[in-house]
Amino acid sequence: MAIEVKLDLLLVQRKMSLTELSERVGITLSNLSILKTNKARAIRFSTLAALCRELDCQPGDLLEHRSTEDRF
Amino acid sequence: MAVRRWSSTRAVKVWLDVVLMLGGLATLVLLVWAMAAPIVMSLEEPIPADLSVAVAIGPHSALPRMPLQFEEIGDAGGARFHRPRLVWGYGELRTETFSWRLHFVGLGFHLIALLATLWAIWNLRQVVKTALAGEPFAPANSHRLRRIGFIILTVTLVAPLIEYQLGRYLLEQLSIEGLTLSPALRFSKDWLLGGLLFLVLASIFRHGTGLEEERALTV
Repeated sequence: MAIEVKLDLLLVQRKMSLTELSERVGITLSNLSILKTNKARAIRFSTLAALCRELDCQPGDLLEHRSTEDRF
Repeated sequence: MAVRRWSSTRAVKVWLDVVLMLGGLATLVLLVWAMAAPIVMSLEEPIPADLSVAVAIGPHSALPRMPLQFEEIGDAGGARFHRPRLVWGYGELRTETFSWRLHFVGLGFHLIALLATLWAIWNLRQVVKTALAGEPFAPANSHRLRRIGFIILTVTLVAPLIEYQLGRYLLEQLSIEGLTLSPALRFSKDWLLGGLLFLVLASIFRHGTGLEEERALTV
């Protein structure tokens, strides 16, 4: 996937667990896990807004575009 | 105690279970008979076995038509009739044979067709089962539906060809007075359409599975 979710990095920086974020955002742990492991195909604006609110960040801090060449 | 809610899907599953059970039983009976036939038919007083094939009435296999001899018995209000022909006449020629090899060909043909049909029904049952579990767009279902379509098409196209060959052989051995019979070559339009519909349904399910996956992976 060209878009990478940097949720794990933000969680470490904010010293927050995935379970805590799940409770605060109101998204199931399995859905957050899909997001964290970069398996998600799409993200709703409402989800993005809730994550940005709880992690106190901008969408750009959460998502990063990587060209396929970067992987090699 | 949990009460199972009855729905049309559940009724279809129960019906498929019954069909599978009866089909399995019929297969078992045919297998036992296939094994016993050589012994039974080679006894000192052998018992003949049935052999039946589809035949066309008339000199043509695919489009049978037969001219009929007739006498005009009256003037039906000035209408005159001439050249009556029996068209699309098909029937089943049943004979008895003491040749277990010949009987085995007919039996084997029916057994293979029965097993293929049961396989298709089993696949359909699995599709219905996933629908009952609330996951009709499981990735395996499009494969199952495609498999059912190909089984139906194969049986519908191959079975008449085998029956034609069997009929040809049988009619070569028999001479029937006053009646022209040909081995029937008839493909069921309904089953062909059914097989094609299953293939269309499989491609719709493949698309549905993709959409379902997309939905499941949208956070």
